[in-house]
Amino acid sequence: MRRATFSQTLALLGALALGTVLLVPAALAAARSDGSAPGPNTPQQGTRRPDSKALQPGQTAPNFELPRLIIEKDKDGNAVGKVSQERVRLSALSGLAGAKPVCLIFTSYT
Amino acid sequence: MYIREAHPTDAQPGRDGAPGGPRGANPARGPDIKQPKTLDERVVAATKCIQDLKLTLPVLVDDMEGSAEKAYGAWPDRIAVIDTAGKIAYHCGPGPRGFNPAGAEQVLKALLANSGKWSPSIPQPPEAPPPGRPGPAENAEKKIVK
Repeated sequence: MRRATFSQTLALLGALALGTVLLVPAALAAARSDGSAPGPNTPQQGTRRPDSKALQPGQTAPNFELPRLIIEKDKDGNAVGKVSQERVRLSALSGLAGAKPVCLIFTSYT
Repeated sequence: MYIREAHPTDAQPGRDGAPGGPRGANPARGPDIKQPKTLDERVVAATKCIQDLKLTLPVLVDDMEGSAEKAYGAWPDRIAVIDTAGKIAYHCGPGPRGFNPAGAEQVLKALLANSGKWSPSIPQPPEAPPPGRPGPAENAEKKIVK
């Protein structure tokens, strides 16, 4: 079997590299042409990292039972916060007659 | 819901995950809040937040284990809308870039027009617009509370 010359090897590598450059983007574009659209939490190229903690619409909301913050005034008129003895359970807010959707805003001060 | 601070003045790299540091006497650099280590400290910080920002929404305080924060992937800030059957209707991206009060408002209106129930036909809002918004709590309350 004849051994390939240096120039033949170089030409072969060049063809392979060119094929990769041309075919990979085409393959990616074909994969996107299946009609699927990125969801609201699907990261766009070059925008943000994947959101591994995203909850999907339709899934049952994680339940919790937490105290409500109550603000009262002390004898000097200063606001004093305390937690209520009664705890708010998310699951108790749904399924009731006259129930409304719940909007949870998670945040801190800083 | 008040959760763990994002930029406390005693922030430590790797523990709090976000830059903080002393604010000194410059209020423009943010409130001087240390990361609460007890529920009582958390209540004090939440109270200051409500008072300073003049918030009127009912406020819950997450426990020190961060149960709700973890269940909702909520740190540093996030919004979830839940329908009357207890199902997720919308869960915006994590803040600050993904925080999207306008998206929550859109889904709430759609839910109210659908007897409070989520359905697959309710469109999901696009990602949050670029930064340049007010602070999360102020912005969310202005957008959502009518």
